[in-house]
Amino acid sequence: MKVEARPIAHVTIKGAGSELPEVKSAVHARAGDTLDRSLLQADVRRLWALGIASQIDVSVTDSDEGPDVELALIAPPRIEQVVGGGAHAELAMLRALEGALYDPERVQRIAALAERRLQANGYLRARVGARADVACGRATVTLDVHTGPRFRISALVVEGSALPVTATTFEGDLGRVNVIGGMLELSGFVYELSRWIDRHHGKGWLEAKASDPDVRYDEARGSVSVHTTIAPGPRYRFGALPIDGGDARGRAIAEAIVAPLRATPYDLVAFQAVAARMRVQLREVGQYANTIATTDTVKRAVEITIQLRRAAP
Amino acid sequence: MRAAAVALVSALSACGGGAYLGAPLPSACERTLGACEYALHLRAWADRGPAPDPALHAYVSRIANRIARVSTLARTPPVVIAGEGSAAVIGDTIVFGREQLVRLGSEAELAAVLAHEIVHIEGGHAGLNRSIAVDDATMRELEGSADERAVMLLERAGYPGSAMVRALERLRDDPFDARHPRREERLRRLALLVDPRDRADDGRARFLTAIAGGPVGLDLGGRVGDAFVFPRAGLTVPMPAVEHSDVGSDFLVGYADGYDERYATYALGPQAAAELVARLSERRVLHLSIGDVVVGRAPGPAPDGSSLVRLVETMRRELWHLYEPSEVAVIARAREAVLLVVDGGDARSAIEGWAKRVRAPTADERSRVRSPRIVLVPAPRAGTVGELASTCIDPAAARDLDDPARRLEAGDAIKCTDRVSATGGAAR
Repeated sequence: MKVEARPIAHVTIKGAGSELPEVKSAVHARAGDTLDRSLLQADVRRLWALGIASQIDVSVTDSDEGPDVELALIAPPRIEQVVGGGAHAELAMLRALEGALYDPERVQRIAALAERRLQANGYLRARVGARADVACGRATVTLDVHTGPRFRISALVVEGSALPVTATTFEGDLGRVNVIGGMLELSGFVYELSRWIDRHHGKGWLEAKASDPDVRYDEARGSVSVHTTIAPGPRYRFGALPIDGGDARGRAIAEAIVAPLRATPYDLVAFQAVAARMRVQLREVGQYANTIATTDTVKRAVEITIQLRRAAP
Repeated sequence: MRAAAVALVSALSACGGGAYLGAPLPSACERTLGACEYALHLRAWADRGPAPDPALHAYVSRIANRIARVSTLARTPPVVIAGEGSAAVIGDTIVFGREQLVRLGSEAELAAVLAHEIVHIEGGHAGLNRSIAVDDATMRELEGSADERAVMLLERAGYPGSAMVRALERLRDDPFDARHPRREERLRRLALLVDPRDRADDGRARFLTAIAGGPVGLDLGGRVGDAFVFPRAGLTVPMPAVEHSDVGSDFLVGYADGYDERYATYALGPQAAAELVARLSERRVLHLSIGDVVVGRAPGPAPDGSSLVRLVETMRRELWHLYEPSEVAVIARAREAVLLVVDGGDARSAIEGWAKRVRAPTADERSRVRSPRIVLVPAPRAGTVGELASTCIDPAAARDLDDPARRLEAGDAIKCTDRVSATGGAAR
C-alpha cells in the first residue's frame, strides 16, 4: 500500500452502531497517526469483538491531505422467516428466532440444541441442519430436519441387584424416561444406577459396583435395550460398637440402645435412627455422643466407636 | 419392610394420592416431573406471595394479552406477580417480581419484559434443562434472541421497540449471571434493531396509575434493632445474644460460639408450615402469651423413593430451607407462619428459650417495617427525574424507582414515595 507510512488525514466510522460510544472508543486510529496496517487490524479486531457487525469493511483512499480511512460496519440482517423442518415442537426454539438478528453461530448452536432435544425425546438418530439465504438485509433460515425412528425402551434389565428392583427404580420422568416403553436418557440412567449402588452401600454391600450399561439399538423396530449387571459383593455387618467416655449412666443408655445392632447386617439408615434416639436420651442426662466409623475389609465389619462426653456446665 | 413402605408411598402418589401444601398433587404430576415441578412452584407462591393486588394483576395480564396476540402463542400465558426477583417463565406461566416491576418507567417497558418472556414460551426455552443439559453459551444465545424477537413483538403490538432497551437498563443486572449475555452486549445488539425515531405511545401515564398506591418493597418485614419484625404474622422475634448476624428482606440469622451455633428466623406460608409441623419429631406445644408454639426436631434429608416422591420432598425442604435435622419452633398465623431454627450447642433448650421471647410488635416497629407507598407528584417544572426528585419526600428512593435521565415536562407525574424508608430490610 503506497499510502502507508503517511499521516492519516481523516478517520470515519459509519454504519451499524457507529454512534455508540463503545464503537467510537474501539477505534484508536486518529488523524495525524502514521497509517499502519497493524493499527487498522487492531481496530477491526476491537470492533469485531463488540459483536454488532456481521462485516467490517475498511477502505483507505488517498487525498491531497493524506490517506482517508473509512471503517464501515455492516449490521447483521434480521431473520424474517424460519421455514421447513415439519411441525416438531422441539423446533420451536428455531422458529422463535424470527425477528432476531441473523448470527450464523447462534443459529447453528440452537439447531444443535434442537437436535439434542429431539434425541432426548427418543429420536436418537435426529439431525437438524439450518442454512440461511440473505438478501436485502433480510435472512430466511431454512431447516433441514431428519428425525429417523422414535426409539423406545424394549428391555431394561438390571441383574444381580441385592435390593429389589421395580419398574420405576431408574425412572427419569414419570412413565416417559428410562422405563420400559419410554425414552432412553442414558446419562440419567447412569446417575440413577450410581444412586442405586449408593443404596447398596448404605445397606451393607459396601463393595457393590455396577457394570457399564450395554445399550443395543434395533433400528428396524425403533427400540433400544439396556442391560447392566450389579456385583453386590459381600454384605458387611456392624462390629462390636464399643462405647468410650461419659459416666456410668450415659454408658448404660448407649449400651441399651446400640446393643441390638451388634453383628447384624450394616444399615446406615438404621444406625442414624439409633444414634438420634441415643442423643436425645443422653441429652437428658447431660451428655453428648460422637461417633467414629471405620471399615474392616478383612472381617467385613463396620466398626463404630461411640464416644461420650459430658455437656459443658 | 422399608422397601415395601417406600413402594406403597410411590404407588399412592402416582395415583394422585399424594399431597402438597394442603391439596392433592396437581394433575400435572401425572404427566411429567417438569410440569409437576412448575405446578408445585406456583402453589408455593400462592401459599406465600405478596399481598394480592387484583387491579395490578388485571393490568399486567392485559398487557401480556396484547403481546401474546401478536406472537405465535395460541393463548395468553397466565401471569403471577411474585415478590423478589425479575421476571421468569415457569412452565407456561410468567412470574413477575413486584420489586422489579415498580422500577420500570412505562407500560411499554412492562410490555418489553413480558414480550421477552413470551418469546421464551414460544421457543420452549423454559425447562430445557430438565430434559437436556444446556451450556451457558447456548443459554446466552437464547436470551439474546429473546431480546431481539421481543423488539419485533413490541412493534407489532404498537409499542416503541426502544422500550426493550429502557427496560433492560432499568432491571437490576447480575454480573455473576453466566446464562444471560452481559447487559452492554444486549444493549449494543438492540441498538441495531431499534428505531430511535419511533414515537409510539409508551403508556407511561397508564403504567404509573396502575402502580400508584402500592408498596415499593414486599412488606415482608425488617430488622428493628436486634429484632426482626414480621408484620403479616404480627410477631417480633428478638435475636439471642450472638457474635455476628446477617439480615435480608425476610430473614435474620445470628451466629454464636464461633459460628458453631446458628439462630435463624424467617417466615413460611401457612400450608408449608403445617406440613413442617406434621413432620417434626419430638414434637411438643408451648402455651405462651403469643399463642401456641409448636417445637420439635425438623426432618433430615429427603428420603428415597420414586422420582415423584423425591421431587415433592426436595421441594418441601427447599421451602422450609431445612436440609439437616435442626431444632425448630413454628408460630402459625393465618397469613404466614414464623419459624425459629437453632443448630449447634444445646439446641433443644435454646429453641424453647428463644420462642418464649417472641412478642407482638409495637406500633413503632410496625410503622418502621412498612414499605413506603408509591405516590405520583406533578413535576413543578420541566427537567430530568434526577433533577426533579428533590420534589419528593425521599429523593434517593425517587431516583432509584425511575430512570434519573428520563425527561419530564411540567405537570408530568414523578414517581415518589409517601415517606422515607426507615429500614434497609423493608424497602430496598
